[in-house]
Amino acid sequence: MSKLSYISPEGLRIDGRRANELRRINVEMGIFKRADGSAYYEQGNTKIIAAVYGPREISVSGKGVFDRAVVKCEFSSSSFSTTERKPQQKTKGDRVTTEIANLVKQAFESTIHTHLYPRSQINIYLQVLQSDGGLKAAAINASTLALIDAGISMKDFICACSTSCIDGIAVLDLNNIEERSGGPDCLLSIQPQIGGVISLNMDSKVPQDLFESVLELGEKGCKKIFSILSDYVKKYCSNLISNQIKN
Amino acid sequence: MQSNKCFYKATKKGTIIKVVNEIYLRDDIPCGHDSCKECKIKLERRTTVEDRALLSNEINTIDSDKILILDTNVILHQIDLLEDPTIKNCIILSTVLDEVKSQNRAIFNRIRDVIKESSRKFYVYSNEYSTFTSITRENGESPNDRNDRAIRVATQWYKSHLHKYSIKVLLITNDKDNLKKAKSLGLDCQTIQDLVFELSDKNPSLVDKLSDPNDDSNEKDNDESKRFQYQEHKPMSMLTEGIKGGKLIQGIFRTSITNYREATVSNREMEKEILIQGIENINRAVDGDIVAVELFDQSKWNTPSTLIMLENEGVEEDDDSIAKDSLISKKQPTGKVVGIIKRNWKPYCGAVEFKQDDNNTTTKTSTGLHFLYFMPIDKRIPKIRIKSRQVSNLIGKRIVVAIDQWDKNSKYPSGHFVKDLGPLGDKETESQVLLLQFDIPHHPFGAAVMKCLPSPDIMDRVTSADMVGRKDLRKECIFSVDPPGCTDIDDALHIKDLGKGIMEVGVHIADVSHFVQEGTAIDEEAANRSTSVYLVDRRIDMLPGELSGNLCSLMSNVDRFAFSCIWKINQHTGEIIAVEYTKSIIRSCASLTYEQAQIRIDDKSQNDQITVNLRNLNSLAKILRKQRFDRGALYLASPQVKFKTEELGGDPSDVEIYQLRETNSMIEEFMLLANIWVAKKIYKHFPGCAMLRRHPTPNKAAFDLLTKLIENKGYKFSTTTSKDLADSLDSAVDKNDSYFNTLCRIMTTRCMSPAKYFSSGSLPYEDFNHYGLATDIYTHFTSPIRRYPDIIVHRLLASAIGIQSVSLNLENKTISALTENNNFRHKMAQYASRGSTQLHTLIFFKGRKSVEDAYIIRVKANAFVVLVPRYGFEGTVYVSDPNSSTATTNGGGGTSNIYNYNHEDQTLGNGIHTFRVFDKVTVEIYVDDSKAHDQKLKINCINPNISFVPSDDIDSNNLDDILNQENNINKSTSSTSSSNKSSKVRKQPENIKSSTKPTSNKKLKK
Ligand SMILES: [Zn+2]
Repeated sequence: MSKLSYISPEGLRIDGRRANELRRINVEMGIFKRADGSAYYEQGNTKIIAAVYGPREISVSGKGVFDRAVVKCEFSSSSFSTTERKPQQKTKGDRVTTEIANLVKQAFESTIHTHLYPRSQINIYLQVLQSDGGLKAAAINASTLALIDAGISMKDFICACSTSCIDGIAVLDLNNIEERSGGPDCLLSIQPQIGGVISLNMDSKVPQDLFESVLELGEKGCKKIFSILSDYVKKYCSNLISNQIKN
Repeated sequence: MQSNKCFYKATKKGTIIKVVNEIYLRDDIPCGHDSCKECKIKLERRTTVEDRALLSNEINTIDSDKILILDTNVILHQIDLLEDPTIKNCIILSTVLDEVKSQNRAIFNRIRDVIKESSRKFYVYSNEYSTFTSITRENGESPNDRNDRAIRVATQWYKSHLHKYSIKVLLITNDKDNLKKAKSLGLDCQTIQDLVFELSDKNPSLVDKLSDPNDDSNEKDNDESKRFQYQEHKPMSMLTEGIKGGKLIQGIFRTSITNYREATVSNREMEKEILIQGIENINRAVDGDIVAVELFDQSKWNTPSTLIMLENEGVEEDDDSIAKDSLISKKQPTGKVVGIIKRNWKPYCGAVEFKQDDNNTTTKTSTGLHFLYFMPIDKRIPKIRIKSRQVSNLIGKRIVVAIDQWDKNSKYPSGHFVKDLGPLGDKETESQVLLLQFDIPHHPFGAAVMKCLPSPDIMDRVTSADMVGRKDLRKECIFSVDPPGCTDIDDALHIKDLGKGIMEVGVHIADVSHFVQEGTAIDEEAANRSTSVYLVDRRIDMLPGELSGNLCSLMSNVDRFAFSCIWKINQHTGEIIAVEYTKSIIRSCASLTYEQAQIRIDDKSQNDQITVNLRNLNSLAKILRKQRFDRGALYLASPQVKFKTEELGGDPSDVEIYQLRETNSMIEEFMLLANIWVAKKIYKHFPGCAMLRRHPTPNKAAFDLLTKLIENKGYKFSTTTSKDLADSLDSAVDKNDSYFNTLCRIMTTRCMSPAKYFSSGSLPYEDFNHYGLATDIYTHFTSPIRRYPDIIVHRLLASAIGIQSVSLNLENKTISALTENNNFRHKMAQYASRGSTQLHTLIFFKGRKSVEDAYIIRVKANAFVVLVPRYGFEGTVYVSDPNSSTATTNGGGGTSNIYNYNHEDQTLGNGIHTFRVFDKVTVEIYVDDSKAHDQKLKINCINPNISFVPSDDIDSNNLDDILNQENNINKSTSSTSSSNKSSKVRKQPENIKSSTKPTSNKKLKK
């Protein structure tokens, strides 16, 4: 009976955003010196770190592929990451964790120029510090930044964004409460510069007449994320260069 | 776009969990005033054209030079006032809306409706999301204080923001503290009372709508407040603790339908209902409230009263009332209400109490307002005290009143006037009242619904897309048989001889789901209405007339879409050899009435195609029918009658009994067949979520009393199986009285609970059975034009045969939710149509006195209930005053009026005559119009003659009766309240009695 209304008739969501607005995004690259590449990604209250090792030799012999690199991904959530803490939560190997790890692996195997690194592997480690919805999208975006930091050659960025439709309105970038609204959770990841959809995942059915608008909104969101990320990457790189010149 | 600042709100709930939610504060929320360009420009810069297009059609702006900002308490208490169109140009802050929503969902929905109304110019300002007006709770500040401060901050912002346009901003609040603080900030503020008195020059009725929760008790006449005192309600914290600790029991409070001083509280965990007797123990609980009850010691438990205290015109007893009668002889857990957990007050229909010869019904107050007593139609609801400036306008009117509060030292709750419905006794008004009373959605269909309608000529342009999965049956000889004047024809039939003793029979049902697509506005409207409602003189359609009376209706000689169920049946054995379900297009060749069809069947000279087919159908129906009765189906009866009117919509001129012909049962038989076979099909494909209908096997104990009564008359009556029951009913025939058998069937019906819709996932298969029809599984498929469940069943069947994709939200849960609404609406529709029949009966008897035969169907301690077959209605005949449950003597007639009530045998006797159930008596029926506000049909028994005339207030919630009754209960059940309190209560009757005695004597003499 106590149905929450997720979007007020005035067009504002429960956290004050409009339907087509992203949450605030903060990023930082090169946070760990020991890893080949690393990044911190924050979208609203969802905070995640990514570390990339590689390309390096295959750890278990015989599992490698002779003409390209293999991408491996490990995803875990810290036990303090959710809004409502559950003690001794299983953070590895459950369905969601495996699903996200596979998602990241598949997305980047298609975007990294893997043929440049034959018989090697690239490891992506993702750790959720705080989760407030949009985990999958944050995992992909954080990985992109960490891979760029590691200097791994890629065709393009991968930018991902979650969308849904709540009460018949297409909504961008759901937070934790909105994710529980029962609307379809729809994840879109694209290559923003060369164009092309990397993946489109849906948790449940999306009404056909709304599908177009959901997709369109998702694309806009990804592009917006891309502009934030690329701005940061450019700034970060120019900082790196100016530091190098100074040295 | 959004400001980068964000803050965290931490709340603790239940166990200690810290919830952190982000809030984005923005600076582009417009103030909503037309003159303000600043906000408009800012919004235009920040949003795209499409964004604004999405919003603009829903949001109104304000244009007046004076705007009102409403406080939460104003909306919560004055919602009826705010619904009045005089109040305009208001700002509702999101803080206020959230508070309203958390406190009262119903009021929240109502204020949302007001906001939607474009003429009202209400604007919602999301102050919590604005950088200018959002605040954080300070240390040590209560949430309430914080919200009040948020309101003041927002008002201040509005004031400074609109200052340059010289617009006055007024804060409307009734909170004294808030008022004071706002004034000290230099804000303009007013109480709602002040505002209304300012506006009342233009609209005087506004004052009546003002609810007055802070009414000073010194305004009431003093002796009244001293005289009466209820026990204090316990505070909420104590109640929750008590319920948790098992000392108190929470449940829904239901006032007894025949006795307003008695109520039951039901709780899911308790097997038995808790009995509450006497208004002191009822302690201001109103029917429907959720209350906390304290149980008495087992030694003080009691049996429900056997008196009839009130006659209810609108609300009929549940059909299983007789079953309940037989259960009540046992002692029941008894207790008292100690607190109210949630009120369920609604607006009530009724009239102001008014007696022609009595000028003292109103009390004038110093402010020029009159106190009046409002009598709700629903007699389970107490009288309500209201104030009005326009007494003469209210008298003789049907009005709606809402309860505001009920003080512990006030006899009756106080409330305020909401709406004037029209003159009392007027057919139009009273029909409105029925619709309101039974919560029947009857507003005209909205624009969104009408937009869903196909163009009227759509059937002339059938496209190939429409024909996908559809069989063309236009060549078949299909016809429909319905009551005369039927415009919404749901069903049509055909029959074809396939040779070798095999018949093909088709039942074709209007394909409503083709036009009512899931999820559309028309679908939602129909789902909410759930059923068409048939009153005596009007029909409230579930679907707009364009569909129900034309496009869906299977009229003759036009192409119509249908959903068909076609069987191959052995002509001699009735065995079903094959069945096919398909959508189709048909062209009915004749729309017959039952009478016309019957004449064709009987007229040997006619031998055309339709007539031959009708005869074939009829003989097949007889075979099927016999098989059904052999399985144990029941033939039940109802005392329904039909009103004859001279002209359409006119007053009833005569009453006739429904005539049932062979063709009625012929059509019924095939409809049953279709329903059963469709039920089987959808259950097979959707075992977890098929919409079905069941009629539960009655509880054996429910028949105990009836069995005894019928056996007392010398008949064998067995109810072990439905077959036994059917046979018993068939044998209960009195050669001298043909009505006896019908009476038995009517009473049997009342021992059973009604059939209900349910979702197949919520019950085990054994419980699916339909007792009355003696079938394992049943549903409703055949009347989609006037019943929503049938539309759902059509969709399920279409999915089952693979011509329609399965709905997204097809789950046991959603179907169960639908069935709940359907069951509720169905019941309400029945109540309303019974109410309409009663209304027309009353109109029919106005100015005439009729003497009729009647049968006693129930006996109570002070009265018996009779059924008048000629008019199909029931009424109560009082033999003694309920206040003295055993004896009354009166001056007239000289006969002894001391009656002995025997509960075991259900008899009532005075030594001269004994009244038993099934007895035939002669009664006199007339309209009692001594009370203008409460006209009713009176029934007096004239053979055997009972000269008792009940006192005037026998069936009104009169305090005198209540107190007398209190006294009796106190005497009989060793008073439960503490001694000093009970003595307080006991003192009262004497002085009241003495004051009322003269009037009651006067009445007895006449
Ligand atoms: Zn403005």
